[in-house]
Amino acid sequence: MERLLKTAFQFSVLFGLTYTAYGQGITATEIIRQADEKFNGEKSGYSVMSMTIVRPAWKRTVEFRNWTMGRDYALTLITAPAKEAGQTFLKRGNEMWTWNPAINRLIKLPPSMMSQGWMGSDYTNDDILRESSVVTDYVHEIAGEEMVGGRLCYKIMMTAKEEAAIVWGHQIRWVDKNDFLVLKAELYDEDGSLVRTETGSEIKNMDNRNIPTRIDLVPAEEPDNRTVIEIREIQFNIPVEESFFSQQNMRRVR
Amino acid sequence: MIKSIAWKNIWRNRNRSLVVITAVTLGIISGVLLVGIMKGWVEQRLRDVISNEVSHLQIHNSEFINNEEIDLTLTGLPETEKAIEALPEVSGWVKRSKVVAMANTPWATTGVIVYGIDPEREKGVTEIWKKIVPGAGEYPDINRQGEILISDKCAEILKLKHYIITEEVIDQLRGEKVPENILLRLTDLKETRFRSPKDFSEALKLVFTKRELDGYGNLITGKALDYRIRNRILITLSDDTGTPVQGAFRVCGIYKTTNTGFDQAALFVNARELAQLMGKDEIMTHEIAILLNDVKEAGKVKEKLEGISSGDSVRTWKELAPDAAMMNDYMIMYYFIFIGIIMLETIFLTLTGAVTGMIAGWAIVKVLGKTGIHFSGWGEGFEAMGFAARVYPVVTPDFFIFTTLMVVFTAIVSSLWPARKALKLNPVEALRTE
Repeated sequence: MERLLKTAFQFSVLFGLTYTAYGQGITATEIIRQADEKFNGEKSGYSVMSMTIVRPAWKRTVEFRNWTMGRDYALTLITAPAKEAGQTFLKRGNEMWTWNPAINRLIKLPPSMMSQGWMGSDYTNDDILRESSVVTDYVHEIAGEEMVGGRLCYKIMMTAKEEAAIVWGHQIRWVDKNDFLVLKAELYDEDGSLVRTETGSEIKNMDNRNIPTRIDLVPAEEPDNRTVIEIREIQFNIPVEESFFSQQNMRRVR
Repeated sequence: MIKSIAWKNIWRNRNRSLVVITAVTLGIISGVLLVGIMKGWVEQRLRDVISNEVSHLQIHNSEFINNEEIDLTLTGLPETEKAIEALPEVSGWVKRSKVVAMANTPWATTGVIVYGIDPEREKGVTEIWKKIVPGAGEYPDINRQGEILISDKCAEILKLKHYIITEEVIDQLRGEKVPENILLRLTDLKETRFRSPKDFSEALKLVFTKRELDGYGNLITGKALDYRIRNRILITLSDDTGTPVQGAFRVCGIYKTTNTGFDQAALFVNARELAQLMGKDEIMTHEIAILLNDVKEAGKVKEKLEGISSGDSVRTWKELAPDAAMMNDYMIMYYFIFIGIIMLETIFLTLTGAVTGMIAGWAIVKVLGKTGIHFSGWGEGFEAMGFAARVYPVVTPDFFIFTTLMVVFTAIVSSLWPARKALKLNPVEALRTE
């Protein structure tokens, strides 16, 4: 969830902030850092999202609400479908728990579950918890400028550092030149084969900032599979305490 | 004398005897073959399970056996080490860390067991280092950092076992005398990377006919195989507070034993690096594996080591690999079954003949008992000795009982010899430790 929100934040930027002020002298690392810091810079957030998982034989939509504080705290409540409604996920630091009202059980997610798709999607729990940083774990390089979805973007080549705990060989990110929104990301393995593509689209103004409200995730070798995130509502800097992100609250939150 | 008459009698009717002899020979051959194959399998499995997987003895924290938690290391390590060093029966021993983890590549994820080892010492106990697939890297080395040894099966699951047709592969196939028309069609697949054996065989099926594949399929698959050595694998495991920690390792080599079940899970890294990843200053010892000079000593050595540390438990290979031990024990039953069959067969064979013979004999005797047999030609001689020339055969019931017993007895005695012979061959006896 954090990642979902993080992505949403990365795609988002305050209106009126003119990063173009940095001019053409801006470095690739700086571009990525600024796109990433949209998230880190925020104290807290609340959002309503839906996630549609598309498979050749079926399709399902999960709806959820997110509360976040800084990078370390997140609480997610599933609101639909009815079968899974009430299920909550809590992230504190790099630990994660899940509460399932149907079985009345609180489970700490072990590493073995980290790599399973979250709610059956192409996102893994690991994507959500991953400690790696797009800023410090990669070497960045501006590879040109390209148009994505009608906006001019920096094309940034990000090569994973040798010692970094990352499976990817490199990533290419397209960052909007004006708003510093990540509009597209391609993730490659070490042999240089494309593994998955993430694209942001339908940029709307929410809580006074521009954000792409739709994110598509497509695995390269299974083009019939995709996961689509849609942001319905988002608020920034809401009043929330650290105590909100507790195991007790996992059972209470509505 | 009876023996030599019996032997001569056999050769009186060559064809009859040969039919029986051939039948028995074939029966015994197939029986021996069957037992031989079984024995070979079991012995090989035993050898592999000991040399690759469990050694002769292992020591764990007693709790670790039920619940493989990271903090459940050996409780009495220094005392145990000293005791093992003092044992003359020991040929080699190692300490290992053993951690349940997840392994990730960009393409796939699987559950694994990561062993933290001391590569040099490990070579004195297990033979995994001899099982490196030719041309597929090497065993970890204490002096090289961040390396991981995975199996062929694990590489397949993590999609690090690729197939690719390159110019070099085609040249090699040309060297193997693969016809040019096949090589020509193979160029259609050139430079395409297939991430699983299944994908590759399906691609081959589209290009070639079944007959061509029967002839060259295996050769092409073998040459096109490309393990992604030096690729990165991300290992995720929980530290003692249950918090996930991650580390990246590079594949240094691919091994392959005869047991895919073991291969699938077992990954090897330097113990020092595993400890660092977990934020530990010292290497964690979850497991001690001991190799003896003689497998028969396992029970005895276990007794010697058992009292040293109350928190740890010592187990022999039989307890560690109960499946192999069970097969071993079952082999003895197979021998009994096989021998039982030989014996029963002989008994049935003789009994069937005996019963048929006795019934027919009884009927003939009954008839002749009425009509009598007249030995007219020799009558004079018989009678000269006081025997009648006309005989009326008589049999009493006790004769039948006696014959039956005699037949069964002879059958058992005669089948005992091959049975004993087979029993003497029992090789598994030698491997038993208790």
